Amino acid sequence: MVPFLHGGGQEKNRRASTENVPDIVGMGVACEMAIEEMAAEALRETALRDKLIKGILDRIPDVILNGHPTNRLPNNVNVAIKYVEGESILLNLDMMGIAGSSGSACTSGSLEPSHVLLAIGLPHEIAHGSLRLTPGRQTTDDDINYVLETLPPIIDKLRAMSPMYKKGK
Amino acid sequence: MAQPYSDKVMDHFMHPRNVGEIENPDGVGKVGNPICVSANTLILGNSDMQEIENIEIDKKVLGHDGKYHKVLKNYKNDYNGKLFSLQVHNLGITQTTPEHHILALKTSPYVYKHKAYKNLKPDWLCAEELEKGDMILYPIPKETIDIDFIKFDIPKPKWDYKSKVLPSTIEINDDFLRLAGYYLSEGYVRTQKCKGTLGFVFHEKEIVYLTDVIFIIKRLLGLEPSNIRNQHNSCVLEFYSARLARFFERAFGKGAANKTIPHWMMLLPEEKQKPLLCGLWRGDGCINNESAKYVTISKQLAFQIRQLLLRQKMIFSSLTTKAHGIHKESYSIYVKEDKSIKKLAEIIGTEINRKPNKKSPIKSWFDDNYFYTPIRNIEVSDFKGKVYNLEVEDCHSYVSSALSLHNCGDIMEMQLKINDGVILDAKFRTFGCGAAIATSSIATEMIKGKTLEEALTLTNKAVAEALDGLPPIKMHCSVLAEDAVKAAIDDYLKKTTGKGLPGFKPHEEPLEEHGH
Repeated sequence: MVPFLHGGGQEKNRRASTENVPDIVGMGVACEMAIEEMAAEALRETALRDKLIKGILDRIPDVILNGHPTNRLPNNVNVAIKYVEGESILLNLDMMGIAGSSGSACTSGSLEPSHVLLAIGLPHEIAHGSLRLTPGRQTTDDDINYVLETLPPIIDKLRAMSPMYKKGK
Repeated sequence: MAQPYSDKVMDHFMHPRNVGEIENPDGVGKVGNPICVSANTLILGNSDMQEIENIEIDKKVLGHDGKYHKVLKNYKNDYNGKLFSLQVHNLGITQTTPEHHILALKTSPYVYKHKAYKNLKPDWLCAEELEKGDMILYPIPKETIDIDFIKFDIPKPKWDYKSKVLPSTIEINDDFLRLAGYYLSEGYVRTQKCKGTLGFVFHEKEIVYLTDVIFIIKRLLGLEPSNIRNQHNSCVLEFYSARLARFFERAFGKGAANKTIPHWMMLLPEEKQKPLLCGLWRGDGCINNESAKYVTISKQLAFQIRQLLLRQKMIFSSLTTKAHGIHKESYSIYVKEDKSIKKLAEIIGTEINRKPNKKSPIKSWFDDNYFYTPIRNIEVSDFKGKVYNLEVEDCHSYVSSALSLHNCGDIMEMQLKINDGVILDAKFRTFGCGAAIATSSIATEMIKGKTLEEALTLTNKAVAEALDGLPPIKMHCSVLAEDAVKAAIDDYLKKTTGKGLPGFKPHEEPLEEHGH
């Protein structure tokens, strides 16, 4: 049998060098924390997620929730906001201290929207206006409120600029 | 998030000047899609392949997703500048303007390091960003509609009392599809008023295929051959049936140069298309241990066979040559790659004896959705004339004979209030990224209070410089801004003097407004 790594005599000469102990310990601690907190944390984040989804759908017209309303990750909010372009939403949110990601990877030099969004049936121009927000362990209820206050005016501003958007339509 | 923009761009993006509309504007300019291909570019449609200049609104074309989508607009531009001629291995050549986005994998920096490819992601890249060795992504046709029966709905001629009874439906099975292949390659029809002949000509060495045709027609339609005769080195097989002849004429065309596979057959599941390929190749193809080749003088059929091979994930290369005699061009399709030729041999039902190939560098490959094949050469030339672009519903892309092309979706609208040759007010609306919004915003600032002559000197470079620069991939936004201003002034002059801006050639004019 050829050793996996050459060098020291660890693991009966088959895998040289000391294992990555800090990572192994870290992994163990992470699992410990997950066992203790995951169920509760998932519930907490699910509540934040649902509040965020409901808030966005209530406050902004012409928005589509991407994916299933409940059968989704506890921390995943993904909405298609019509008549606006993803990069311009992100730049605005970024200026307000909110980190999100978009259905289109415009800033990365790509002009192609997310292939997942296209696969679930969104047309290109709507996939381009998709926004993903993911609450995490540090996200609080106040943070959600802040997003819900900040996002609608941004969308209003961008839609006012968009020749695709006609009020009352 | 990494900030790709200068502070000036962000300032104009966050606080755009002059957004909105002007009441009763004196000039309105609308622009988008400043990217184009040459007029003779062949575009894959849902039943044929056409030059882009002839593609009409509402026609369906193949998108980069392998499905068919409606054409919403066909733009025609006057263009004076560089044209990039991309020569793609296996597929052929397409010419585009420098900014046209093409679906590709940037593999040229990793020559002979194929392992690095799997970490790369396909992207829409400008023609001028591409280099020899980059991989083009070419879609595998995805739309599938299975059909089990078709109607045999050719009416009986009026004075026909004696012809054999033919079935009213025909099952779409291996027999029928192989027969279709034989007809497309070796068949002919003669259709007169109430007489008609369906015939096949096989080489005397291909008697086994001729027998196959006889048995298929017997099984499918209950018809016996009317005439079998030798002619030079060939054997001619004929069925006298006006209805059958008309059926084949209508479904597959008449005359070798006009033969096509009906669109519904192109949509059949790929498994069902195998007997079709079998019949086709047995007729006009050849295969030996080294390579397989198919030759036809029908342009449409040649492209359809390429599509069939893509669906079977077989690597091919195609060649157009001047034909001998009366025909203009002949189209050859070669299959040489090891796995592909073995697959083809299995479909045709012949055995080939190939020595295991020496390890050759990977040239082309398939994944579930695309055929990947390298750019062999790029030539840049100066061009003056018309160029074209399509706006396509949903997927915003279309496919030429060699490339998957994007129709970029930025739309910019500029409105002007003009008095005494001076721009009193300028407003814009833009759907698009940060750069698109910032360029339109600063352009309105730069032309307000200026005379028309001054405004017309605004260049896209000046717009970009006023914003302290733009990332290269966003430079086309500044072109949009310049065009929007010029288009608005052009509109104003047309309204007031009846004549547009002298010398101004809008980057695009929708065909349906000017062409008809």
